[in-house]
Amino acid sequence: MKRKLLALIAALLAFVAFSGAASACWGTLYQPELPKALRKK
Amino acid sequence: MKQFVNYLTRELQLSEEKSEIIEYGLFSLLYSWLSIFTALVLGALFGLWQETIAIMFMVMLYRKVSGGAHIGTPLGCLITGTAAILLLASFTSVFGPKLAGNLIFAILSLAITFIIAYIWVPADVPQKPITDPQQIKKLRALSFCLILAWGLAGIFLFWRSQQFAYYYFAGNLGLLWQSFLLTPPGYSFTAYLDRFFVKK
Repeated sequence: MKRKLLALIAALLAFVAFSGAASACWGTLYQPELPKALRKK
Repeated sequence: MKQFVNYLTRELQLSEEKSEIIEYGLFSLLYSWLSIFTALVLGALFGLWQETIAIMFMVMLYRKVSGGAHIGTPLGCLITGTAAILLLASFTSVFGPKLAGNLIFAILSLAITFIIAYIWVPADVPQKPITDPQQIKKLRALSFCLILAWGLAGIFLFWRSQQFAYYYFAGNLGLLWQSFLLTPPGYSFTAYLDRFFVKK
């Protein structure tokens, strides 16, 4: 049960990361470096 | 935050790549919500929460698709972003009652936003470069759609009620602020502010 919950949280965070990577920026004045895995070639 | 990411990585046996993605997502979520919360609380303290919402909504929405200049640190971003929104909210409360119903201001704001978008959108930064032609095309299309939708919303609001024109005025100020951050002077401005926040 715990593992499923953690997997769900990780999936949601990954979704946030991918949807953020698809946009031009976060929407605030700060932009951390995009992880290599999210950079479009 | 890092401890939580490490915990997730350990428990789910994630690769380094996946761990980085989750960390980025967590930081994105927490930081965005912190920015919104801070601006709203301070806006409420100054009696400007409605103006703050209108401005912040437009800035963040347009910024998502258009990009723009950034500050080098999260704290610098929080301070600068919040200060800018509160200043614009104050400006709205002072000049909004006089200018809100002014069609020329509304049209001029949209025209300036459109021209700047045409020249500079999407505006990227080294931390998040935008080089894929398909992505550039998509972000440009989304930006112009947003500007058009905002323009149409303005026509509807002006037709319906002067009361809504006040918040539309606030939204226009948000659009103009974000448009400024797309331009070379906008980048120079944030680079100047970076001196106060980034340790060298």
